[in-house]
Amino acid sequence: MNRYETILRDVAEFLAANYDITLQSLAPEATLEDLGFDSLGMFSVMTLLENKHGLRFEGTMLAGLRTVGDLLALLRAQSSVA
Amino acid sequence: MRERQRVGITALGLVTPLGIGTDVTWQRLTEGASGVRRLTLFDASASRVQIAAEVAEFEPRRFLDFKDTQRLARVGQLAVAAAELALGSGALTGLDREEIGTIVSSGLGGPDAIFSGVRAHLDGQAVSPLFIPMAMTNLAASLIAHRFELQGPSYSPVSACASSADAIGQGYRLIRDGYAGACVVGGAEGPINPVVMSSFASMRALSRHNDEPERAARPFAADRDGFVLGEGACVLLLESFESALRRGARILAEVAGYGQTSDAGHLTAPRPEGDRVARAMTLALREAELAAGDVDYVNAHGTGTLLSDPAETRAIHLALGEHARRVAVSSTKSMLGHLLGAAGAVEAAICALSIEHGVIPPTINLETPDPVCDLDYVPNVSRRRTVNVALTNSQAFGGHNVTLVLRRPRVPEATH
Repeated sequence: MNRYETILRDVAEFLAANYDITLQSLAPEATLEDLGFDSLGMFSVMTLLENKHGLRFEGTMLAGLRTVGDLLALLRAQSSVA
Repeated sequence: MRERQRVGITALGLVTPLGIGTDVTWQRLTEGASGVRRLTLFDASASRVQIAAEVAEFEPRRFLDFKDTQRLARVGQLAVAAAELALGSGALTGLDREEIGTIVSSGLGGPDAIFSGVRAHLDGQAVSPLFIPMAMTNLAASLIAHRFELQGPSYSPVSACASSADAIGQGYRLIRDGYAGACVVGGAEGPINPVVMSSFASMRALSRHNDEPERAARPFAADRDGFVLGEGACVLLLESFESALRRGARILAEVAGYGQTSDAGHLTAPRPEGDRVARAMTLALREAELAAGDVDYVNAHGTGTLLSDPAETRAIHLALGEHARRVAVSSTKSMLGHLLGAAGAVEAAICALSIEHGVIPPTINLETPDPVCDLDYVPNVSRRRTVNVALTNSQAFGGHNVTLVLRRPRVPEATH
């Protein structure tokens, strides 16, 4: 499992445990708002990834996140940063 | 300036250690049942105190979506449940939500959130963004306003164990003076947490009768050894008589007076003379334009600590004079435990129910009264009696004393 896949697995576990959302079942164009995934949820998942994987998310990175696809793209980009 | 409005209670919801709902709580209170049990919310096997008054069989999913069951501090879950029970079945129909205030308190906020946040920090982790919103003492007010779209004034007066008595008093004044047409008021507390309990235990404030939980809370008894920590919530709808009559809402009781004083003394110990508690009672009666002799029932603060019960007994003597010997006084904390910031609202609701049903709930576990506690505490068995005027006392760490006066509503159309 590469780094991105590990991160994705952790995000999927977080969404299942806290939001009853199955990440794999989501279309990329589904909006986070429709999933009930608000800014506090977003900050919670970022904090988890910061703690567990040493990623760093700036507030400005989160401003444009609207869909599941946006989130996955951000995670992929960050997972390739050292 | 508008004429002063009379203020009534037109809905209430209770989530208490005696049950989830007003009817079940009232039924069990009048039976003299105890809500105190061995602790289940955390492993207390090594703790000095192993008992508490928990809301047993609380199923958050009945009141909250999945996300909120996972992230809301216990205090928020209990608050929303009580609000749903009070308001969920159309209690707000015909009211303008722009005009409804939300004044709901808690004494401690979310100690469970604080506990996990501190643990994460000590483990070298970044702390959850939920730490602040879950820890804040205004969480309950915020959640309720959001859920029911209540857009009027909203805040949470904090005065430790008098917090929700103050919430009712503040909401009452907002309506009385024309700043809000109605207010959702009350309190919630979710304090059953190892850190909170350990501190109260170190203060020698908690009963250690671990082997007989149901008999542990013994207000006014010679062998009392402290209070039992409890959790729960109470939410009430207050509105002007004018509003209730216009929309045909039944008024359970009138909130007629509110008195506040400060001991201006010790941080935690009550003032032994009881004079400042007495003054809060007198101020509340004066505001209600009632005399000492009009009072039928006093729901005492009655925690069951060594110092508090005699001080409050003296206060009742000072405030009511000769009538103190005739008035019925009870401590429902003997059954519910001490719900801290939620206690004042729960006990005001009990006063309203005693007016409605003509029954005074007892002080249980009162076999041998302390000789210095010499009032009629309605020992062990509830009493059938017409209650026209009931008074509820709250005394808090910090020296905050609050008394509310409730009375039978005097509008004939309102008592159908």
